[in-house]
Amino acid sequence: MTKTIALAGNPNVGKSTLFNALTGSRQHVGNWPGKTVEKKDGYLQLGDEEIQIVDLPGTYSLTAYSIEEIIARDFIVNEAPTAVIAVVNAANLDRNLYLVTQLIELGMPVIVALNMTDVARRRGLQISLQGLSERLGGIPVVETVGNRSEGLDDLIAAIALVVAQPHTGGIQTNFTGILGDEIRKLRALIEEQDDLIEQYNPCWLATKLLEDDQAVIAALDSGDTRTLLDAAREAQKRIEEGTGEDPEILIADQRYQFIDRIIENAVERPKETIITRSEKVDEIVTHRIWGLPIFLLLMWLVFQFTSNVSSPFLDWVDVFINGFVYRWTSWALANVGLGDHWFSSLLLDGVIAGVGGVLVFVPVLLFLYLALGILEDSGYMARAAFVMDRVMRWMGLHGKSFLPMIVGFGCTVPAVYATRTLENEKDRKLTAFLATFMSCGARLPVYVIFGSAFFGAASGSLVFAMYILGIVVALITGYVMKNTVYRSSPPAPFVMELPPYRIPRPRDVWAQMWERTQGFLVKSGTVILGVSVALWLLMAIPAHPDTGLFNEVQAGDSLFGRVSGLIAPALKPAGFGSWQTTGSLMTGILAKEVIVSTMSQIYAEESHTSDFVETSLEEDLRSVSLEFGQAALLTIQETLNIIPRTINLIPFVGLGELDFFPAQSQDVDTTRLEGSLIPAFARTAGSEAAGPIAAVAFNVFVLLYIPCVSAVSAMRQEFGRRWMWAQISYTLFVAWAAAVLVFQVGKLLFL
Amino acid sequence: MTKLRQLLETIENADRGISLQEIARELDISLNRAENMLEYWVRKGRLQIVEPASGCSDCSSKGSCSYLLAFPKILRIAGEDPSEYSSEDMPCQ
Repeated sequence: MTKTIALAGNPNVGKSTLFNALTGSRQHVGNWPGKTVEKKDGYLQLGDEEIQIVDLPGTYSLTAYSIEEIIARDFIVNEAPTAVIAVVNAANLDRNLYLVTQLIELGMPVIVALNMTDVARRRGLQISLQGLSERLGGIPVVETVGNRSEGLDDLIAAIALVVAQPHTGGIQTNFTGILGDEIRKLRALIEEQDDLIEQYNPCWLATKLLEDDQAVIAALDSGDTRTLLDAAREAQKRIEEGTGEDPEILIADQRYQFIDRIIENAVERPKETIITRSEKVDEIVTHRIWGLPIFLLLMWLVFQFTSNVSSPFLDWVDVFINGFVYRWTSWALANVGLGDHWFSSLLLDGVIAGVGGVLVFVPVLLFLYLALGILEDSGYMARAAFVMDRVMRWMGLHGKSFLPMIVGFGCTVPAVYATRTLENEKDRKLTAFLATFMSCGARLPVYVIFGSAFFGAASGSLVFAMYILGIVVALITGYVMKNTVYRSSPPAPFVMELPPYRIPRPRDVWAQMWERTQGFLVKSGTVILGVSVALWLLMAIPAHPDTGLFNEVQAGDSLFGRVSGLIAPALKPAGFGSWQTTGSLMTGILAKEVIVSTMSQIYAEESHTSDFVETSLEEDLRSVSLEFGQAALLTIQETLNIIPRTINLIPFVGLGELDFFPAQSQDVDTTRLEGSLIPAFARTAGSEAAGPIAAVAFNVFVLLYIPCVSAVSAMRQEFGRRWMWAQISYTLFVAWAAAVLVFQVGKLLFL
Repeated sequence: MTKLRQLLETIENADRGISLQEIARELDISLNRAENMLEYWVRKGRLQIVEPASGCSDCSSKGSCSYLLAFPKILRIAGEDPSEYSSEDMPCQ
């Protein structure tokens, strides 16, 4: 008769790799009878003997909580294989031994294949094979590294030994106290019945009956065993009365204690593990008082990094697209006789100005995603959610609400869907509502361009202020709604697993940076391109025949200019009531990036008129390369300058900053979009001094007003039209009121 | 009282989100053991793993959705009615 060895183990411990190594190509894949769970079996040639190897489904235990557990247990109990190889992840021995103890309790000959030992060693774990074997009662323990086939010969030798001399010498969990007494009593009753001891290990059966394992009880529930089942029920009652605890919990708890003792004796851990180091850092970083200021400081650094460090490359890409590409495209069009053709205007003032105006911000996003990627990969982001949980609860909001909000910093659409993590429908609606105030990545270019135009080196502070304002408005809105129209039960408690800190891996950080930036690039090539072309068309069509011809009309007299101008007066109290800003905000509802592309198109004419200097292609290319090198140097400069800027946050401290190109710092660039914004906002605000205040008010409006159509549509799908319209109305009102407040109060304070 | 029961009660009685590290410290057990005991309660159905992307379960981009990667693993007390949602008309599908 063919002998059978079963391979058991937790999921993802390398069981299948070992199975493949043992059986080679001699495998059969099918399903377990009557189940959709995959069954794999194969053969191992052991001298003259052929041994069947059966790969059991991955399980954490042998209770009856999942189909995989029932399959694995039924196979071992009913098919009685010659032995079981317990494949164990050496790097997480505590968890894996839970299954091993249960296999031993079944009375099976067990071989422990200590897999992934290379990972355990890297984590500083020293596992004594002999110590482990002794603590488990002398069962064979073999070290393997499945993916490198290391230890395979030792494993095969152990199989040969067990096949030749099966033993059941494993030490079983030492159940103590009243539990131990009751197990012993039941065991004695079981041992009186021959048919039972033929099929079951008496001790295992006794524990299963006390655990009230329905699958086992159903298999036994016949006339002969009724007395035993009654005795088991009585024993359960006595245990519950004696300990106040469910026997099943007591059994599991004593297994964990047993495992603790094994680990204590067989595993040597490094004195200071990564986990203990992480805990020390967490004592400060997630501290109930310091946690929040540390979070704010880190966010401030992120936006300093994003705005100021990316600034040199932003300028370079701007010069490249709006200077080099624009100029030579214009030259090429003129040379093929299309210089005055509408197509030339479409390409230059529509596509290049619109899409190019947005592409300029790729460096900004790369730097933002780099900073966020570092925080995420280092393990800090999970802490941020944990710290903000406290803030949310202070405000009476659900702690978990902050998670969708963090997602909202990337994009509002997945944030709306991420609210599904909340159990309560009211909390879901409220959280989705608040998530729209989190400043998504698409709004960032707006803050950067205004920060750079109006506040120079302090642009990072404007960006930071916008993000914080979004959180503050969300918290205030949430607090008011939670205490008025949206009362709901107190939030349910939850546990958060904080991953240990680690040095961010450049490959992972790069992957995240690229993936997120790619989304922006795709959007530029699709939505923004489409909007730019449509906008060019609307700006080329005269609002009235008297105002000019197609493509020859002044932008303000175009269809787009006139329609935007109708709404502009409503924004006058906020200091930016021009058709240009209103038009940009209108198109921004399609996608927030479009605000910048629209402004680029509107201001394109002014931006490019002074830029035409006769140069050769070679000179231009040389200049672009030189400016690239300069941008790289300035990036280093700005990175280093974060240090004095951060220290300068301390009152009365004023460290100097590095300046690699002092002569150039005096130059004011007036050829770009930001150069056009300064006079434009001075005009709408009423004076040059009021311009920056109006610019801040505009940014506040952009932060708070209607989210993009995709987000609005997600809201409608999740919560219905009524909720969607409520949100649109509320965000419009809040944005308008906040922008007016900023402008009017700002004027009173600063002028 | 068993450590297993203490762990569950610590979570149930928490008036805020609690980290696994805090639980391990409070019960004076190793982090690994605390993690294993959490898994026990998950298997028993008393705790539930919160799937951040539960709303996107059928979304083809779920695996690579960079916005959802930032979520730490969260477990909550089971027993409340977990809402069921349709994944139809998901925009990221």
